Amino acid sequence: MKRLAWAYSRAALVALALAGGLAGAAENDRTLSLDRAEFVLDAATAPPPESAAWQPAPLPQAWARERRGAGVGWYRFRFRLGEAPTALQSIYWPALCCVMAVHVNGALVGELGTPQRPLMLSVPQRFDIPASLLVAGDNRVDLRLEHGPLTWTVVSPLEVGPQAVLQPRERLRWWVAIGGSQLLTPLALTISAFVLLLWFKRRSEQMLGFFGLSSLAFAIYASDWLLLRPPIDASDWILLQGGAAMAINVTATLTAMRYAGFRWPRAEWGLWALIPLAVYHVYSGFAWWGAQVFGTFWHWAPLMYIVMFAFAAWRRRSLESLLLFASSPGCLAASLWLGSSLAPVDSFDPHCYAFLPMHLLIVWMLVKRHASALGAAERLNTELEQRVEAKATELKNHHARLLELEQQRAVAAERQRIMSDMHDGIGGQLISTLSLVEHGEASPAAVAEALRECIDDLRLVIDSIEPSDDDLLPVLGNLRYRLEPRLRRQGITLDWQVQPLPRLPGLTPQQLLNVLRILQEAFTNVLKHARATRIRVATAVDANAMSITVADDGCGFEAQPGGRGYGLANMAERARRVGGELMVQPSPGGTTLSLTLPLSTPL
Amino acid sequence: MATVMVVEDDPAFLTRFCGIVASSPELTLLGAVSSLAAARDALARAMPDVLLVDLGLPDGSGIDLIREVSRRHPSTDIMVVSVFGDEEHVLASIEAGATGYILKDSLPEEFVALIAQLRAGGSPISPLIARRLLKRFVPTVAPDSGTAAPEAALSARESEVLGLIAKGFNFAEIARLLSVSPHTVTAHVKKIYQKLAVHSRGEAVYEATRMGLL
Repeated sequence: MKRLAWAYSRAALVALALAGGLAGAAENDRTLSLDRAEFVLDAATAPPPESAAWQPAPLPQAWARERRGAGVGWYRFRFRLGEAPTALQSIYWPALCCVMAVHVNGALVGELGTPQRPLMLSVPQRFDIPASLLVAGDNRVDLRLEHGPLTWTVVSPLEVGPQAVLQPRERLRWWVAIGGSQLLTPLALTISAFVLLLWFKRRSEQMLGFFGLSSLAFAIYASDWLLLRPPIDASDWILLQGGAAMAINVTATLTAMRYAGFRWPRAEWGLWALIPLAVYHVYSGFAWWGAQVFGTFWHWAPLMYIVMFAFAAWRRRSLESLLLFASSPGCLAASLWLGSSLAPVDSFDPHCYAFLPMHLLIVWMLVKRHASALGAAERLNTELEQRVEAKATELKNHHARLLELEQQRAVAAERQRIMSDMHDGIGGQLISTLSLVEHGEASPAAVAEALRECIDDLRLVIDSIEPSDDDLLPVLGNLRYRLEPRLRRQGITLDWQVQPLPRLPGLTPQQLLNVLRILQEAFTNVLKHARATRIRVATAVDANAMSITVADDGCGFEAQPGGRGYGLANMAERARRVGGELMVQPSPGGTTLSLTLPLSTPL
Repeated sequence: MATVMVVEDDPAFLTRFCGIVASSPELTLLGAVSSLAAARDALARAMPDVLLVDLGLPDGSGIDLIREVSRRHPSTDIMVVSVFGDEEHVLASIEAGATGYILKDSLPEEFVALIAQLRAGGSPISPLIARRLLKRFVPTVAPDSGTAAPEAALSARESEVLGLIAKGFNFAEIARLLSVSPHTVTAHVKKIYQKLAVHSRGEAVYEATRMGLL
C-alpha cells in the first residue's frame, strides 16, 4: 500500500513539473555559443576600455595564423541574458591556449599559465562563475592572451550556460583531447623500461634497444599531455621535446630497418645525427636554415619508417608485417590532417593516438619473436639432451666393447703365461722323467723324486696365481710351509728371519712365479747337495730395493759335482726377468744366495 | 687310538691311505668309501673320530658331507683331502666345518702327524690361507656385513696369531714370539677355525634372509 501511494504522489509531481516548468527548464538549460568576438592588441592587465581599437574576430582563431607576432591581446565576448540566472554558471572554451586571464563583467575569474610555464597544448577550459556575476541584459567576457614564441595560441568559440550542462561537455572533450593521451606516458614508460632491460641482457638484439629508446622518446613526447605545463622552463623543455619527437622517428626507422633486415651503418649514424640537429634547430629559435627541414619533419620523418615497413612487408609477406606496415602511416596522417585546412584550428592533437597502433604492434612482434626464440631454444635443448643420451649410450657400448676386448686380451695373456709356465717347469720335467723311465735308467725312487718335483712346481704355479695383494711375504711363507716337512725329515733347522716387506705394486703372477722358482731352486739345491744342518731365510729392505737371502751352512757349491752351474744360470736369468739381481756367495762355511728386487720399477 | 673314515673315489689313493692307517698303531680304520651315498650309509652306522673327505666325489660335493657331519657331530674332526691345497677349496671346506686339510702326496709319516695334530686341536694353516682369513674377518666393506660380525669377530690375540702365520712363522716360532706355550697357539688356531665356520654360517643366514629364503 505504501508503495502504491508513493508511486501516485510521484506521478503527480511529474505532471506538475510538466505543466508549469517545461518552458522554465528549457530556459535554465540553454547555453549560448559565441563564435564571434572582438580583438585588440593591448598589454594592459585590466580589460581595455570600449574606446580601444576593437576588431571583429571570428572564432576559432589561431594567433599564429593571424600573423600578429608576439604580444598581448584581448578578446571580448558580448551576450545578452533575458534575466539574471539563478544556478551556478560556467563559461567554457573547448580549446584554449596558452597564457590567459579571464574577466567576466570586469571581474577576474581565472588565470592560467605564465610565459615561462605556458600550457603546452590547447585544452578545454571551463571557469565557474557565481550566478550573481551575470546580470539581465548585456554581459561581457574578456579574455587576455599572451602570445610568445613558444606558444601555440588558440581560441575556440565560447560557450556560456549553467555549470550542470557545461561540465559534462567539458569532461567528454577533456577525455578525448587529453585524458586518453595521458594514459600513454606511463604505458610507454613501462614498455620502454621492460624492453630496455631485455636489451641490456641481450645486447646483440639491437632491435630491442632501438625500440626501447623509441618507446622512451614517445613517453617523453606524450608527457606534454600528462603534465600540460612544462616541469622546467619552457625554453629548455621544448629542446627536450624537439629531440624526443625526432628520436621517435629515428628509432622507429632503425627498428623498422632491423625488422626489414637492413644494416647500413653509415645511414644509421646519419639518422642518429638528425636528433641533435633537430634539438639545435629548436635551440637556435627555429632558425631559417632548418625551417624547411626540421620545421616540417613530422611530414617527412615518418616516411622513413613507413618505407622500411613497406620493404619488410614485401619481404616477409606475413600478417604481422602487413599490419605493421598498415599501421605505420598513422602519425604522418595525423600530421598531414592537422596541417591541412580540413582540421579546425582548435582541433585536439591526435598524434599520440595515431602512434599507438604501430607501437603496440611492434611490442607484439617483439614478444612473439622472443617467445619463439625461447621455444626454439627449448627444442634445441631437448634435441641436445637426446643427442647426449645417444652419445652416452654409444660410449657405454664402446666401453663395454673395450672391456670385452681387454678381458679377451687378459685371457689370452693368461693362457700364454700358463703355457710358458708348463713348458718351463712341469712339461720339461715330465718329458725328461719319461725318457729316464723309457730307457730303464731310473730307479723308482728317482722317478718318485722327479714326479715330486713336478708336483712342487705345479703348486708354485698355483701359489703364484693366488691374488698376492702385492705382498711377497705370505707367498714366501707358503713356500716355507710346503718345504718344512721335507726340511724336518732331513734334520735341517730353518731360521725364519723375515721382516715385513713393502708392497710391490703391479707384481704380476708371472714375476711372482719367477721369484718362487728361484727360491724353490735354492732350497732344492740345499736339500740335494749341501748337506746342511741349518738354513737361514732373511729379508731386508732399503730405500730402493728389497732382498731375500737364503743362507745355508752346507759344504758350498765348489764341492758339489755337476748340475748346479746350469741351475744357477737359470736362476740368474729368472732374476733378470723380474728386474732383480741374484748373488751367490759360496764359502767354506756355507753358501749365501741373495735375490735383490727393485722397489720402484718392478718389471 | 682314533677311528678314521675316508671318503675318496680314487682307488689308488684309497689303497695307499688304507695302508698308512693300517700300519699306524695310533689309528684304526673305521671305513673307506668312494661315494657320497656310501659315506652317508657308513656314517649312519658309525661315527669316526676323524673323517677324511675328498671334495670331488662322483655323486656330489664333499662340502655337503662336511657340512652335515660338522652340524650333527661336532666332536668329529674333519679333514679335506686335496691335491694342491689351493686356497679356494680349503677355505670352502673350512667354512663348511672342516678343521684341516691334507695333501694327497703327503708321505705316510706326515699323514699320521697331521692327524695327530688335528686331534690335538690345531691343524696348520698355510700362510696364504691365513692371509685370506685375515681379510675375511676384517671386512673392508663393513656396512652390509655388519650383522654377522659381532659374535664371530677375532680377538686381538687371534688376529695376531693369524698375522704371524701369514708371515710364514710356524706354531713353535709363534709361541716363542708371543711368549706363550705352543699349546696356546693351537688353541687359538682351533678357535679361529670355529669362528670361521660360525662366521660363514652367519653370512649364509644373512644371505638367505636377503634373498627371502628365511
